[in-house]
Amino acid sequence: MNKKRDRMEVIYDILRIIRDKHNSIKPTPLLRYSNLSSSSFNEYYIELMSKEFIKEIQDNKGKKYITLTDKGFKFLEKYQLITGFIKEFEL
Amino acid sequence: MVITLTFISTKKLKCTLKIHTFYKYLNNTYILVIVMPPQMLFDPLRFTTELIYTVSLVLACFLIYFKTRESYELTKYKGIMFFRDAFLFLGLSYLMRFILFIMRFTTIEGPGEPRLEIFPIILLLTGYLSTMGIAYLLFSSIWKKIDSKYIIVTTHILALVLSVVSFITRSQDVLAILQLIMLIITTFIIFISKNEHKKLSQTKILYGLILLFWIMDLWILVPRGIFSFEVKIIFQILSLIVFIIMYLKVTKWAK
Repeated sequence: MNKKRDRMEVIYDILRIIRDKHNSIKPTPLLRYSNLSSSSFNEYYIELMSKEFIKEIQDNKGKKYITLTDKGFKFLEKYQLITGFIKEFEL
Repeated sequence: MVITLTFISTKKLKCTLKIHTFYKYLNNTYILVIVMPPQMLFDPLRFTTELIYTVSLVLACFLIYFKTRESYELTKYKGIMFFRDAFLFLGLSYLMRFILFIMRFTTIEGPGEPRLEIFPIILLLTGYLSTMGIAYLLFSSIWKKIDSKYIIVTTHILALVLSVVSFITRSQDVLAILQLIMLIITTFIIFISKNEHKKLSQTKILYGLILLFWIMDLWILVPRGIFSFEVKIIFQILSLIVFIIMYLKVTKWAK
């Protein structure tokens, strides 16, 4: 397994978890469900924020939640096709 | 008295005739030797086939490039980047090749002919773009095993060297030979980089054919080349089929 493909899988898993939790999850449960160390999770979290796959929102009580952006939904939608494409052309 | 007219020229052309010699030959037979300047006349059939061929290939290459844009933008995956850039470079190379073709087959050679001054520049661009295309297609398969930062810089230098050589020699034959050597090395690398238990895949075969046909296409441009028009057409049809298969394979995944 190559590192980059693992990376794409991890990104897919994180986004999928957010989507499956009704597109709203707190950072701590997300860390737990994603099965990553906190340092790795932070790395991915920053990457996903910078790529605008996820965004932070706050409720009335000031609690922080993570939700998917349109781009995040698009990634989930296209993931199977992209991995299929990578496999087909051995990229 | 019988007069035989003999036209000595590289092509059957109408041009300004210059009477060179008027020989008396045998009894009552004369040979009028007319040396024709090495002009080349526009050949509508050849031009039309080249135009259709180029438009189809360039379209296929650019469609592959644009169809894969979303996949790349979402993932920033290096393999996809090399793959789509390879087709962008190849598409541009075929455009340049068509300009070379126009120059080769419509140029009236002689001093002061502006197209002759542009020819080496177009050759330089063709050399650079096609070398990058060949290299990027290779990198799309082996990028995980190489330090891509280093190799990209090296490839730009290699492409520049190859194009400068073709610029200096003013010959696409030299470029084709150098790229053939590059193709042999590329094929060897792809062959040794494949999995031990895995057969050479259909995609890799298509890659090989794309690169092989590119080199053939460069050779086809030689005015008095070894291939007849019919053979050239067969090569170009096969090349077109390979590109169409590639495009269809891409559209299957990049919707």
